[in-house]
Amino acid sequence: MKKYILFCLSLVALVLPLWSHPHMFIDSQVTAVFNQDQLQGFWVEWRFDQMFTASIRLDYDRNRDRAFNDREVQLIEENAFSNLKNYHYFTTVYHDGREYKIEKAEQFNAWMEDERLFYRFFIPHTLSLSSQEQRVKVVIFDETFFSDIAYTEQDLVSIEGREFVSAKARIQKNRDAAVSFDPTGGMSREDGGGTAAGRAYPYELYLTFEGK
Amino acid sequence: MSFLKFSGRSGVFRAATVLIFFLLAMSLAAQQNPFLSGGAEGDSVEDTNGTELPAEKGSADRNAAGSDPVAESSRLTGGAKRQNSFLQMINRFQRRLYDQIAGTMQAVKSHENRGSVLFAALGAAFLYGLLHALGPGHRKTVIFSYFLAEDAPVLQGVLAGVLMALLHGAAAVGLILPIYYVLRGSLMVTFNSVSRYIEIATFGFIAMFGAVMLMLHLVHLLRGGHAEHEDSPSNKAQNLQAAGASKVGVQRHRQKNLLLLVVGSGLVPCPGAAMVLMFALSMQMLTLGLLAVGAMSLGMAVTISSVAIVTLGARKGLRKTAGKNKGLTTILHNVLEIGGYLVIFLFGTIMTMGML
Repeated sequence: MKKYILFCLSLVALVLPLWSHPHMFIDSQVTAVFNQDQLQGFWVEWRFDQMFTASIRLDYDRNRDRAFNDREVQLIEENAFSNLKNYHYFTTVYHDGREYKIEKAEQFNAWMEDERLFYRFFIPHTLSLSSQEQRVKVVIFDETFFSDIAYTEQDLVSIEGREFVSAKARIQKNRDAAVSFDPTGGMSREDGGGTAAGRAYPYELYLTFEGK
Repeated sequence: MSFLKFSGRSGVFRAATVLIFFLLAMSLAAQQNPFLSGGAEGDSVEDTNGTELPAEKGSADRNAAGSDPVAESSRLTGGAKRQNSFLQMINRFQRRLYDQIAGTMQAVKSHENRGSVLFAALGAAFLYGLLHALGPGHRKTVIFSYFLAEDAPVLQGVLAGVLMALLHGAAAVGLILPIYYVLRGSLMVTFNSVSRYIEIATFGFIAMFGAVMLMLHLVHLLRGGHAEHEDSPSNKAQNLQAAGASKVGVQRHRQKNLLLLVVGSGLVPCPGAAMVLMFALSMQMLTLGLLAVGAMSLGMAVTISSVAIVTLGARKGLRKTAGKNKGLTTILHNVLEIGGYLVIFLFGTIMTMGML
């Protein structure tokens, strides 16, 4: 009976999480941008895996110079980026007890570096500075599970405009906000802790700052 | 591996569990690349003012709402190892495997010891194919449902799995190469769009196949027909020669149906294989790309064939247990047959509607 239970559990453990397998792998970096009055938004930089890099190069490096000119960047934006609007650019911002799904990305750029494709874009999200400590959380996670977005190192958060704020940032996983793949199409977000097969715990950027 | 035997009383539970597990493990969603225009569209509801969070949301939301994030972070850091879900472990493994395929394929071009690097590249592609086939896809569901409905020799199940996997990889090659060499269009966008139409047609075909088979078996059942099977005890009363000829005819008919289902549902191009091939094309190494797609397809074949083997084993286990009871055998046979084709029909219908 023990073997039988072990067999069933093994099957579930093996197959369940693999319902949702990523086809793309992205390393992400975030820069929070401040001016003297407010948080202005976030620069997001993505470094893609070699396979996606190759397919974008084949499609849009029209002159085969292993770099992208303005026209090629525009084509990439139109054909391989703008559709992310429908997925809120995989980004959600939280502060003051509210959740903001991102609707807009600006100043898109794409380039090649060390044989890898990079995307960089700005997410405008303003919040007036105060002399009190303020807290913002940014979550970048593909809830369709098509792409796996990771922060490879702990210090991949930067602050632009340090002269206006004293700010601290760190990236953590939140074990109280699991996302489960839903095999009927889409995803479901769960509240409550626990680790189980088929769930992922998105990395979250915690930003604490106050105006100088 | 005694727990893989489906005979005896406990074997019935094992067999039933395996069949129920495969039913539950069906994925009713096709993953689409969210980056590509013309691809899938998610939720784009305007929400510029934000949504108020419920008071009892997770700790991170409390964190954003006002608790001390540094203290919270420290607690989370302390539990970091525990938070690594199995899904994220698998993702990290696939990420490394992906890097491995790309790295070794690049090395084949430049490395002195090409043989060993090529072996490593193909090995990684094989392993990736094996894992890739465990992800969402209709092939496992079709194979499982068909062999739930119809008994067959294990070899036939293995061959069906292998053919399905090879077609999956070959379809990617058959789509990518003309776009690259002849049409010279945007590979990813064209691949994505054409794949979508092929998927719609495939799911439509699966639904129709399921509907026709379901109707034929229901009509047969309503007319008073019962389980006609190669090992059915009812054959004993018949003339042996006639029974033998009938058995061969039924088997051939089933083989044709299986081939039709495998070919009809196997022509959806594999996006993973397409990515690997595009990577090879970007290095001007078509042959290496084709070999890698072949290795990946063989990996997928192992997974899909395993589903066929386990399903057939579970099915045989159930039948063997009910074997001495003629009434129970007939009921079980009819339930599996009707149930299997019903699953195929419902799966095809839901997927077609979901794609439209």
